[in-house]
Amino acid sequence: MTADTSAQPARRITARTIQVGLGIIWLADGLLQLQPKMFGTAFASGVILPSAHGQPAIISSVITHTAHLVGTQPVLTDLVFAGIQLLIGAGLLIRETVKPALVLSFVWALGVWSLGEGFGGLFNGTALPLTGAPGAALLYLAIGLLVWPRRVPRDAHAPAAAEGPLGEGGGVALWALVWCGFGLLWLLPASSNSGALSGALKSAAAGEPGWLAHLQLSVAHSIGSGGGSVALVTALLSFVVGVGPILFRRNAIFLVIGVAMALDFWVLGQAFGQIFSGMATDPDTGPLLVLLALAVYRAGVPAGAAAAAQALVPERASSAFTTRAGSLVS
Amino acid sequence: MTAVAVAVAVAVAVAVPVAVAVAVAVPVAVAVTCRSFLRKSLEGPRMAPPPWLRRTRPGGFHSDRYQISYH
Repeated sequence: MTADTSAQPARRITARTIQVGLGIIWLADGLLQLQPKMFGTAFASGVILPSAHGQPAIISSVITHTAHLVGTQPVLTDLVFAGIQLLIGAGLLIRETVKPALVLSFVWALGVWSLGEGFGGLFNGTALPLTGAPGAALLYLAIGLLVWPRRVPRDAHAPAAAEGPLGEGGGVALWALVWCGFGLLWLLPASSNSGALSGALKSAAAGEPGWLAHLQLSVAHSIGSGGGSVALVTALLSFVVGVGPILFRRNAIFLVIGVAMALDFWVLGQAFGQIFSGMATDPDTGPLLVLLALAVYRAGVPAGAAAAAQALVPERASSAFTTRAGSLVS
Repeated sequence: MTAVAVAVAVAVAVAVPVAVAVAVAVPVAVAVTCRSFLRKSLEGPRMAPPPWLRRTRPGGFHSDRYQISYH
């Protein structure tokens, strides 16, 4: 038996790695829910209730009722909320309980997205990708679906998403959906109005530590009233990042650009999920977009595809190789 | 937006992800290095094979009585 030692298999990211990453983020969510401020009525009035503003009547009514319900028993509800999220996180870290943990996470994420995040502001015209639209909870759901344990891929370079029910194609389609969705949201008035971007950055800076607020306000100042052109450029970049992995199998460059943009949104627009405010419920979309990128990252092109690509090399190069080989033989 | 403002915005847009990546990568690299160092330290010296199992040439073992070969 011979082994080709020159072709070292690339280190692929497995679905298990993504499950562990997701579990750590869920644990962080549970711990954030245990912050002292969360045990007061501020959680209901300052986190849940504001997402009811500007919503269609029925959505606004449901969110308002939920906020009142949570406000009547803040300690109990907070403990239950924290417990569920810690349970999901621990379940994802233990291999045997991944499936029940994911099922629970799907239910919880949908509840959080609708009642806690007000559907990411999609229905009240406040959906800015910069500040976390269309909602981190949707990304928990999407990533969980991608890495639902199902099969072991034959391809040694396959992305983590290839192990899940949607497969690699589904992972890439989901990535495209998310980023093209960002592109569309960047073109809406909430993002593209001249002063919208700098206004959002100034709002995000309120209550943040000095160094972070200084950075956010500096960027807001330099953008000024030119937010429209920034939004247009960012929208175009978002479309490129979303469509790129569909067109090219080597998707790393698009994922890197996407991750860089996600980190920009996370730091400047989301202030690390407002983690320094004492009222953060989750780290927001930044880390989840990084996790999504890792889930669809392909470590290389399979040998068959590489050989097929080699077969497409122009005839001149092929004949030069033959000539050289022939001279070596003779 | 002026050219300076555009330059500032682009510089910040590039610098922020780089800073976050470095802030994550440095502790991870330190942790990985410490882990591999600890693993090597706890592993101890490798035991040498007994003389009668020592390989004399690829694919065969030396014995006083006979030569074993897998060829």
